[in-house]
Amino acid sequence: MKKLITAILFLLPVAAIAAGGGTTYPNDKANVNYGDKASIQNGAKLFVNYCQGCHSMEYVRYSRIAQDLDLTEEQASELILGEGKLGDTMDKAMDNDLAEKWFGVNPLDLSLVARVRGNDWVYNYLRAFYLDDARPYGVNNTVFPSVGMPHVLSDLQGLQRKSDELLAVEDTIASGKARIEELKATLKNSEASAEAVAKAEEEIALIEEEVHDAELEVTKIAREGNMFTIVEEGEMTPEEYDHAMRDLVAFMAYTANPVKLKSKAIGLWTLLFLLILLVLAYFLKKEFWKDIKKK
Amino acid sequence: MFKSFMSWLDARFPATKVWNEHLAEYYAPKNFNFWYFFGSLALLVLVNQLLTGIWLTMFYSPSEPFASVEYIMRDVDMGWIIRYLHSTGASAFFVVVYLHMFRGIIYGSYKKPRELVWIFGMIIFVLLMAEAFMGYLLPWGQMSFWGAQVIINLFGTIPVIGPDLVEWIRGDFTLSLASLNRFFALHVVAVPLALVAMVFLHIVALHKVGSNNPDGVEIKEKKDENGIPLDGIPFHPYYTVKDIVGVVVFLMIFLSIVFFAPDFGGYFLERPNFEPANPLKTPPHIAPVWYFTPFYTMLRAVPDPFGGFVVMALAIVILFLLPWLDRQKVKSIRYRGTSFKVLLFFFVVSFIILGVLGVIAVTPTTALLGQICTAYYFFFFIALWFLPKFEKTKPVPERVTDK
Repeated sequence: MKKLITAILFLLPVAAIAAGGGTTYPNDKANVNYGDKASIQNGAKLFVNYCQGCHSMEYVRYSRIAQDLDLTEEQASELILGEGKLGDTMDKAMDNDLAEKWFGVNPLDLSLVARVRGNDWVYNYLRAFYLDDARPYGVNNTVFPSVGMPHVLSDLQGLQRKSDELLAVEDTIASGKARIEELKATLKNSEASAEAVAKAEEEIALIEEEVHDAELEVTKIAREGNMFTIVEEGEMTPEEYDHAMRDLVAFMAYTANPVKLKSKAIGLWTLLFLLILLVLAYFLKKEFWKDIKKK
Repeated sequence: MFKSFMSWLDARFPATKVWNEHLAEYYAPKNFNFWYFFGSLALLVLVNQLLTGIWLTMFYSPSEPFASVEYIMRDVDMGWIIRYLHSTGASAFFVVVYLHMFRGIIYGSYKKPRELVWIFGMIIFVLLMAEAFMGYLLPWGQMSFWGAQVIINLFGTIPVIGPDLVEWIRGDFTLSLASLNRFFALHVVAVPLALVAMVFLHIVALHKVGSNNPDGVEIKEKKDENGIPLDGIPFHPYYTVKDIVGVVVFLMIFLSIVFFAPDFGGYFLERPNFEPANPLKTPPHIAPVWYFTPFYTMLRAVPDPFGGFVVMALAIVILFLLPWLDRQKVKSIRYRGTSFKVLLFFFVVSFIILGVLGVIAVTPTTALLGQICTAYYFFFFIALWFLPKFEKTKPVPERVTDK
């Protein structure tokens, strides 16, 4: 037993650490179900209609999608953009030079994005566009601040702005942080009296606590789904939109790692085989070692 | 028929002789326990890496590295299985080798007369690190690129020759496809050749002196009238059938990772590595793969980069000296004193902490913790030298015990 513990201890560093990184909000779970082909099919349709104008999936072939998602040739050909063939990869409609002119950057290839960012990130990102006059396309994103992408899904979702609740809390955080900076400048001032320094330090501690509370409040607002207020309604209700985005993320999760649809089944058969082999191997060993024990 | 073929063969090649010397009449102690599976498992993983590596080479292209890996993952029949076997195999190799080395430490397997076995093993470990490092560049993802960038730049901290040395390693003024091409050559030809040769020497040296065992008793000292060790049993069939059980259990764990979680939560395949290498975009977090993290923390524990590089190198060098640093005659932990057990326990703890610290961002607290653990890592080896003066060992039995 003691040895087992030592062995487990040795393997711990692999399992025990969570990757760091700043949290953005909303922070909901995508809960992609790889077994739900209808969901992935719907996601494929959404991708072709709303994303593929600007974003390619250069490693993904239509034929592979058709095969993996049980599409008929006719259904598959509906997905194909322009004059593409079934064996082609999913190129974008837009020209690269034009893209740079319009957006400043060439829109990212999305073959693997769900694997780089994670399914949840993509799911939250797609739901986090809000009105912001300061941005060239009039929208910003809480998950990816100052993103260059316009809100292409606005006819489905509608348009939303940050809720009053969220704005109030963000204001508290911003003004608190500004005040802390100010006070820190006082601390650095060598002419400040000991009394002034003590007072400033006290205030910093107080404000830091306030900011911390406000940050917790943001988490709460996000959890309750109160970050945004709809300004202009879209074709879908918020629930329908979330559902559609879940499908879209499912499709992107699938393209990022297409073998996920079948690797589990192969894995289970492999384990079953090994289990039988283990029984045989165990008794073989036992049989051979009989004579050793007697000595 | 078979008999006459064998006598024909034996007259020209020592087939039966080799078979007997290394398997059928190689006498291994009969009391091997759990820890003794990892040697044969390391061999298994090596074969896995060689075979899957050969198949990957058939489809990988160093001129289009990222795209060709995706091609293997998507368009090549069963390419994804081969690739995941190889990528998971890299991590499995280190798991198995670290446990194999730990076995050596707890049972004193490096002590006289097995010093060379340990030295050959250490050379294998260093080659393995080089192999893993160069292999990790090949998918040409963001982590491949920036990880290699950091490690190669370490050589740049060497005074005087540093900058030129870095250029020589890269074969270019920046890390580029020219560097990748030479890493590819080294990864698929040079290092594997050296690895296989060293594994051969490791086993030849082991079979010359014979295996140690959990009691640290030399079984060759007590032989029967035929010159066979009383506590020895032929490796084949006894340990071959036993190792098959170990292999199957190992495969169940290994293939579960391959089929259910090949990324292993981002520790076997890091997320940023699914984004093509981009020299203009530094990822916010550059963390080496888990098996390098203890040494990476030691590197970061020293504020001066060259100092860190030296400390990291010394951490490996000192392992080579272990057979001479540990002067205690008693081999096995079973008969060593509490002082050794305590010392070793904290060595394991600090090594794990070093590993954990290597993947997280540095804060003042973690930096200090890293320094303490680094100091303890070296203290362990120095303490081993002085330990026999204080250590109260237990009497070692004449024969192996049955447990």
